[in-house]
Amino acid sequence: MSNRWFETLEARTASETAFQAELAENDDDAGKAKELYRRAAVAYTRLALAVTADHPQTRSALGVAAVACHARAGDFGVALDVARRLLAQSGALSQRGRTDLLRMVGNYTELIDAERKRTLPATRPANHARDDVRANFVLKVVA
Amino acid sequence: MSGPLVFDLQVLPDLPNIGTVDGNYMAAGASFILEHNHQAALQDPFVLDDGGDGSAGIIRRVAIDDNVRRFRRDLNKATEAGAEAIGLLTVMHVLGRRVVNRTPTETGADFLIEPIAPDSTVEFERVEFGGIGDSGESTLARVNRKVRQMLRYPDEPPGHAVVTNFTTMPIEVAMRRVS
Repeated sequence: MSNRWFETLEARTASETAFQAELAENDDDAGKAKELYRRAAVAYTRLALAVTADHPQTRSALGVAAVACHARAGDFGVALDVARRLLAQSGALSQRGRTDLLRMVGNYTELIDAERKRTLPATRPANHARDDVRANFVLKVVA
Repeated sequence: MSGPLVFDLQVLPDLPNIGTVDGNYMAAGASFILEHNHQAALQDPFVLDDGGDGSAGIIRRVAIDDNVRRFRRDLNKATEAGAEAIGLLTVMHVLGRRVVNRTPTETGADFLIEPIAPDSTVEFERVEFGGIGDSGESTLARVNRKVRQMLRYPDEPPGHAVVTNFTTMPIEVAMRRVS
C-alpha cells in the first residue's frame, strides 16, 4: 500500500531538505542549517495538517517531523503552535505521536521560559528605589 | 536462501525516496568505517543474524567521496551513516521493503519503510539502525536494546531494528522485527 501523503514531491523535498540541514549542522554552518530546517518544517507542517484523522500514524509521523524541524530552526514558538494545533485533535494522533508532541511541548516551553528569564533584567532599579523610599518612610514613622 | 547476499553500496543513491546526496553519504560512511576498522578492500564478508537460520554475503564498498572530511572529523557520523547504509540494504534485500521517507533528527526513527508487495495493507513501518564502530558492545546486546526502545509504544505499527557491527570480521548484522 503506498502512502499518498509520503508519495508527494513535497514530502520527498522536505525529507531531503531536513537531511541537508543535518549535514550543514555537521559542518558547523548554523545559518544554513536553520534556513534549511525552516523550509523542511514548513513543508512537513503543511503535509501533517492535510492528513485526515483516519491515518493517525501518518499524521503523527509528519507532525513530529514538522515540530522537530521548526525547533531545530530555532523557531520554538512556531514549534509550540504547530504541536498544540496537532494535539488539539488528539484522536487523530497515534499514542506515540501524542506522547512525542507532549514531550516536545514540555521541552520547548522550558527553553522559552529559560530564555525569557535570561533576557529580562534580573533587577529593576526603579522598584528598588521605590522600596528603599518606602522602607525609610515606614522606619521613620515607627521610630 | 537462494545464494549469498550481495549488499552493493553503489546502488543506494539510485534507490527511490533516498536521494543522491543521502545515498552517497551513507555509502561513503559505510566504506569509510570499514576501511578504518579493517583495511583497504573492495568488499567485506558479513553474517546476518535475523533471529532464525541467518545468512551470509558480501558488502561491496564504494570509493570514499567528499564526505570523507566529515567522517575523519567524527567517526560516530561514519558509523551512523554506515549502519543506515547496511540497514537499508538489509531490509530491502531480506525483507522486501523500500524507503518511504527519512525522518528528521529527534523524531525517534531513522526511516519509514513499506513492503514492496502491491497487496500489502501496511501504512508504513518504522526502522531504526544502530552501528558499532569502535566500542566493545556486542551486536546482540545492541539490537536487543534497540528493540526494547521500540517496544515502548504498543499501538505502533510493526517496526524493525538492524544493527551492524563494523569491528568484527566477518561484519555482523543483526535484525529483529518489533511488533
